[in-house]
Amino acid sequence: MVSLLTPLLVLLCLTCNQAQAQVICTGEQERARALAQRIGQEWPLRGSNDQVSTYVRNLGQKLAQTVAEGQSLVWHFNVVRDRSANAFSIGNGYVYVTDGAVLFAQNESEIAAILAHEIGHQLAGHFCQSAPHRDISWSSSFFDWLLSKQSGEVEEQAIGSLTQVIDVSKEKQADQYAVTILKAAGYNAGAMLAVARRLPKQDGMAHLRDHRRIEALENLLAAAKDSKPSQNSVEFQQVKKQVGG
Amino acid sequence: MWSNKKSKVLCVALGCSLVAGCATTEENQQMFGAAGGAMLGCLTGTLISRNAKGCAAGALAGAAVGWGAVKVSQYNATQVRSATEDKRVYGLTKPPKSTLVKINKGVAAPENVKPGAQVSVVTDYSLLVPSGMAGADVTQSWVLKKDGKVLANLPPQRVYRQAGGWTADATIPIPSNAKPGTYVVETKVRAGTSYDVNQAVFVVES
Repeated sequence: MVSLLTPLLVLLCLTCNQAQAQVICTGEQERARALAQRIGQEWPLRGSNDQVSTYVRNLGQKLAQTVAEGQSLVWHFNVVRDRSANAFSIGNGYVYVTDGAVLFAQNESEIAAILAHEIGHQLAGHFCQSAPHRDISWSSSFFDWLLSKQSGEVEEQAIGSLTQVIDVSKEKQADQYAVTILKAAGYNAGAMLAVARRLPKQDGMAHLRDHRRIEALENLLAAAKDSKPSQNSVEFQQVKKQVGG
Repeated sequence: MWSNKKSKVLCVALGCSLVAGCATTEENQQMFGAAGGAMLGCLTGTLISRNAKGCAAGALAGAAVGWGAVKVSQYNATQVRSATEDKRVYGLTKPPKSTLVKINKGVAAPENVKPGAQVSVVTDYSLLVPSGMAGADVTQSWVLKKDGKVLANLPPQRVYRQAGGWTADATIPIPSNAKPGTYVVETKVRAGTSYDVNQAVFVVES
């Protein structure tokens, strides 16, 4: 029995490494871990046993497992205690959403859409560019090296004490992954569009509201022909109530 | 089943306790607490029944509110680190775009208290503000819990704070009728949209 299993396990392991190689790049683990540590020191994060954290982690894991590339990664979903709506990822499977993002979502499909978009950044390999030489404060400008500045569609945005660079082309790529993930997980992919259209300009997720992205999303969803109704759950309502309390 | 008079006494005593709970708070302000609840209960009981028995009934009702009447009896906050020192100690990076608050630690002392004594809840937090700002309004509030149930929401303290590290000390009187057991005091510090929560534990002895 063991002799039969061994080649299979070796094969699985090889497949696992190949999949991981597509989404985790050289130096990404070290950079992301260092930044995650810094975020943990600076920002008020919900504890891992917290009800909201548990819900977001379980939902994030469920979404990430729907695509092959996501299955080989170790994901870290965290919730920041902040009432403004925001979500971002920093590489090596680290994804952050704020209390405000949970409050902003009107149903489970919408918070799934926000998470799926951030998972999409990871799966699209947006953290693969090597870091330029920086001084000791490199982490405060972490997002500078994530995204190309050649497209002319890039803007900087502060998140806490970090600077995030928003690149429309990369956001569109993350959206494509998100639509695939949402459909595979059985969620209404149209929730992406609902979130994007409703975002206020001053919020941290305002980059989702870019009209070019909204047009691209409309085309993407039309092609996807997704007509599922938005999903909700008692658990989501409980979590939302707790965050709002 | 309660008589109408008893119901009236209890309702008005509760009302007074709630009014006391909603009073504007200042730093270092002495507050009523359970004793205040009893006093107000006595007064309102007298007003309703127009005799001394009413006072006694009202006082009993006010005091019986217990945790519901408890407030922070004393509140002191001291800046213990400048914004620069905070960066050095906690590795805070450049100024954020929006205000950030982070609790570094929080404890309740003593860990074991007798009913009628008081417990001190000490919270150390860091306040980080955007460039161009010297400080921000900070709201600190406390929730008392036992066995997962909320016993009391203590009136919050709202004060302007300079950026940097702060230690806030809130004294909470333990009602004389507090049941023995483990209690949790949940401290929340909020500035702008950012907030942090810490749970400290103390034990009321029999």
